[in-house]
Amino acid sequence: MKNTLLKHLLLLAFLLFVQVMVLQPVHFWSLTPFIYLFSVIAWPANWSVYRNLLIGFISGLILDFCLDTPGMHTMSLTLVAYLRLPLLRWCSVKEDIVEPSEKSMGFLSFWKYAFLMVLIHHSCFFLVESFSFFSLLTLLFRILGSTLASLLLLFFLERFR
Amino acid sequence: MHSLIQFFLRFGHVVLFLLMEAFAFVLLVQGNDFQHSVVFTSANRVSGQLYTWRHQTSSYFNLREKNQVLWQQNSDLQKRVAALEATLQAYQIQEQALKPALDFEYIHARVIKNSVSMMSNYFTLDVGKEDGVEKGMGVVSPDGVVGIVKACSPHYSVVLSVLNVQARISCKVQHSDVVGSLTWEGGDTHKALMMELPNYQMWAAGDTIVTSGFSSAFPEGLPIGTIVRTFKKPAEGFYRAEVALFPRFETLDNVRLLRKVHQEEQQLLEKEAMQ
Repeated sequence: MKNTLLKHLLLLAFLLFVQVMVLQPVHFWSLTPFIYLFSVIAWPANWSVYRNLLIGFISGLILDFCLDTPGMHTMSLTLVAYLRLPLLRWCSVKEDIVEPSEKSMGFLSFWKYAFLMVLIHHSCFFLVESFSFFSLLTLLFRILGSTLASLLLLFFLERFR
Repeated sequence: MHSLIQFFLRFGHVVLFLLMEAFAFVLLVQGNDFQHSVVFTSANRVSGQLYTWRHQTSSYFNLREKNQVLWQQNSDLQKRVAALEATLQAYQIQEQALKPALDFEYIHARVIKNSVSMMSNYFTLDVGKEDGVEKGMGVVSPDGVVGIVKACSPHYSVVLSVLNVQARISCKVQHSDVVGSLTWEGGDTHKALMMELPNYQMWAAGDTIVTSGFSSAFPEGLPIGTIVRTFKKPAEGFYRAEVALFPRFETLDNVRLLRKVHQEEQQLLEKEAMQ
């Protein structure tokens, strides 16, 4: 039990580091993939709502602190951390999922869950980001484009699990 | 009392969730005012140091390319110096005439953290208050204007990029009195908009846009970009111009900060005149 927690926290910390140090300066037509969602999606299903919320909230604060995005990552990450358990229950056909992955859930259920998580996170993030400036077309392009970029990255990472 | 505990057992997570989101919202709303929250930005000591390390590592990657660019700039500058010297000799310009250009001092800095993919982009420099940086100073790359200092800590400063929807830079069409203000609407990192161009057309596509010298951040005549096309929104009395920016914001590295030498004197005088 302790080991699982430690393993997930280490993976999360590593991915946050990669996000801040490597991915943020890289951008493909102003799209940014969010690699740390890979860790969030894979958190065990038996974690309590509070643990989900707390880890999500603190990671969000760390990201905002490092990336000069006041509140944006905190808001969207807390949101998906809160919604992931209901989403997971809704998407999975099996009852006894311990750690969500393509192997444990089956291809369709897992990617439906991953897609919804990424889409909700990105919609929240880019909506909040365009707080002071609004152009529906740019917003949609950024949400859908970045969702695609993040999913591709997750798909690639999932091959190596 | 019993029902209150019952309530928290059932809905505590909803309350916690809402509290966290509310906190994030406060950060978001306050975050735009950088002056109060240097701690929460990349100008703080911890992430400043991290970004410095990253910059030290990554700055080795494209040295060849940068060398090429520097070499090119060097030879361009030499050509310009030669041309200017010739002009000087031809006109016998007195030293006094060159004075406006000397009103500004430079501080050299390197970009240790950069962002271009957001709507509000900022970048971080490896110099701060102890190097003489102050809020409101203009920042230029070798290609042109890139931003204005928004906040500074003792060793780092955060710059509001030209690629920020909040940025407004006073600019004009070179060799004319047509003044406007430069803004960015997100998306394309190579294009910005010059707003409030007057109704009579005294410009054309291809004209160079330079700083107007009206703000204390930049002297007159620093390059910004060139006009691609001009257009007019139906309900507006002014023209807008799409401007292709000179600097490549994705690869910003060496920049200079401009410090106006008699800034305080000017501000004092302006204050006095207002009273």
